[in-house]
Amino acid sequence: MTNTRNDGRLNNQIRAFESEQSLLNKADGSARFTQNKSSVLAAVYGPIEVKNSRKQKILKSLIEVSFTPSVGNTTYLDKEKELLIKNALESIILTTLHPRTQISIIFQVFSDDGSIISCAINAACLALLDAGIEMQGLIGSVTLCYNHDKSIYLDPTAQEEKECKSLSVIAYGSQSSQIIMNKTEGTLSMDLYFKSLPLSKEACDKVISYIKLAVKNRIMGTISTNTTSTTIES
Amino acid sequence: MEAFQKIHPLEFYRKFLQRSVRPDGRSLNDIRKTSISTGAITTACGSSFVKIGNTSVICGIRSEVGIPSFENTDQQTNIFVNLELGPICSNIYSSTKPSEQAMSLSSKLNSLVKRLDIPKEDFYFDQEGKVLWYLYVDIYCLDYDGNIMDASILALISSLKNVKLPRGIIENTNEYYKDTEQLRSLQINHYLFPLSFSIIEDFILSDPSNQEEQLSTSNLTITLNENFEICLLSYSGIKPISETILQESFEKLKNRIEYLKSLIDSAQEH
Amino acid sequence: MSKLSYISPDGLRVDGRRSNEIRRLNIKMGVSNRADGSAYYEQGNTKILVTVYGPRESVNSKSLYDRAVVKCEFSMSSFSTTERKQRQKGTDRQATEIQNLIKQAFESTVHVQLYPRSQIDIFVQVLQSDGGLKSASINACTLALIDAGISMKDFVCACNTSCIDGIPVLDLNNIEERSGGPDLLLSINPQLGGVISLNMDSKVQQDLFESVLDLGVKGCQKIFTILSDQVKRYSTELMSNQQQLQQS
Repeated sequence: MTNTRNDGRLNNQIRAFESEQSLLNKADGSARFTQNKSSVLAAVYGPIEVKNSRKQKILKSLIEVSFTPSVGNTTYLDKEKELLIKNALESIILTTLHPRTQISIIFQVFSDDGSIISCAINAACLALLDAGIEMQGLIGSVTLCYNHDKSIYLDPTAQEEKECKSLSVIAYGSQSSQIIMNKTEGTLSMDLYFKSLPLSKEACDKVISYIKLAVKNRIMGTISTNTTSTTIES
Repeated sequence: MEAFQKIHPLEFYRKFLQRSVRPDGRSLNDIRKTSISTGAITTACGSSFVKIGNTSVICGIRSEVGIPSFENTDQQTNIFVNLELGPICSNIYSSTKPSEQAMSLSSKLNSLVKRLDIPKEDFYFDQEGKVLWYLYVDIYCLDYDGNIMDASILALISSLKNVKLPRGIIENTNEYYKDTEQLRSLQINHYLFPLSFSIIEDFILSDPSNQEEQLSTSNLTITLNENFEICLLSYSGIKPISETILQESFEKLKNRIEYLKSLIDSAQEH
Repeated sequence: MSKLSYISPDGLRVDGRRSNEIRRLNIKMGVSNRADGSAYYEQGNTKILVTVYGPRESVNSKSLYDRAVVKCEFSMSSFSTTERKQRQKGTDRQATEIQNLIKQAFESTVHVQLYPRSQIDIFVQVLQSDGGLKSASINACTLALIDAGISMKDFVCACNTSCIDGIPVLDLNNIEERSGGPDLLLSINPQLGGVISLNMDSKVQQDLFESVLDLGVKGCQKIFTILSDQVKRYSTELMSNQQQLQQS
């Protein structure tokens, strides 16, 4: 499909990634992930003592997520995002290595231009690596939107998210080809959904390879990494 | 045996799951007895009460008039859903602050309702639509035994279909009169059929009870409408899930759709 | 606009009752699975669900070394009244008032010395409100506590009465409550004969007060007969179920 979208991208083209790591002094790990105008900062504190001792888990570490939007107070929508991100990260962090502790991940959205949950999860992956927390593998996330004309846009902007028929946030890990987290809203047919899964898997793989590149570059010396726009063949 | 259940709940469950049965006698795919009744609350303009096994949920809808919002989207902006999980339903929840689970579920229910495609004219208070009806849906859980999502979705769709709004007349541009003799319902042509699963160690259980939810490593909720289109898919958990399991879950839900449709329809007739 | 006459010349009220009749009661005990005790109580169109958890370990350090602490939480559903009620956190005066009323009523009636260092939680959820909320809540709490098996000295029965056009009237519904007349809430221990609480709003003439109070006591006794009847029926049902299980 060669129809162009509003910003000139192809249907299955993700926006350019940019990232920075170790921005904050006090946090154990931090990273900022930007996709054009969507930008999220993730800060990781952990493993630390559990603040609320009733929530303490004896055999595992407790994962706490806090999501603050760019404007306004946290609403129930943000609470839902927190729970989704928390479950996604809980599946890749090796929590059994730090029993009775807490790993806090705090997100601050700088600007929201669509695909913000995916941006946050990708930022969290980088921040966790920066903090040196043991993980099973890497995690990459991408958002898809399904339009009324049955086309699929990868990594939609906020405008495209409003106009689409349904929206899906999906996260894959680097270890296996199974889905770590998925949430869809809106109406879409089952065939379209299952057809789009390989597409999203490929996109998440691209994100994961970018994350690996970013960490490698940082260890080798350069502080921030850019990459040009990546395209995925459908 | 009760001591064993309390000390090693996972071991206790594993012994049952290996023989493809659950402690309450159900097989892994069996759903608990579901019942829906509507219209119990006369002060609300629409209400329903759903019971899945021991989980009971009551839903009431209140209507208020207001001026139309200026947003011009296809999505519904007239219905607001709120789910309350209070201490009345279980000893885990506190009353002082709304639990995160309640907020997250409210958000999912709101997103479901936004895409129900109810024609705008249904919300007109008067003939021209200068003033609109706004519906506030409140869902209270009265007894929590797992699978609150299914119960809430069924309660939501049943009570929306049960809504009766009076005709309105505006006089002198700011006097609103409601004609309670003539009531009309909303045109809701769609249905929502939910099914939730819990995954405990590679075993997939449909319609989990409270104890099964606590032992589970992952949770999956899917909702289809009557055209077999996916309205909601939410998977989150500690272990990843494969596509085949997702496809099997959709098949299981398809088998249940006829039964759920008959439940929702028969509840409307009373 | 004609004035709404609350009592017609025949002596019938707005809903067809006489001045000394209570509304129809519909009671179910043991409705909630998770709670230790629960009761669903309908008095006319007022519908209330009460669940009791306890005696259980005190959550915070408010436990007393020699007695139990009774706590109550009252919540009205948003759709229960004719106008949607927004949930007010903390500063809801009506909720606080009812919570204190129930707490005091049951702290004096429950044998609290039997359960030291523990707490008994009562949760009231109003599903539909049509007048007489406070009295209905107290009656429903009595039933739920009995269902939970918590030891009590006696029942606590409550009802509200008023005086309309000089006639004492029993068990007001919403329209009558809003008429602005006096509202007397009486809760008693029917078998022991003591008065737990007596609250009145507005004013009543001194010579009419005795008859209004008297009517209140009669009303509470009526409610007591219905409640104890229901409790006996429920217990015999439970016992026969238990015997059936033991036999099989």
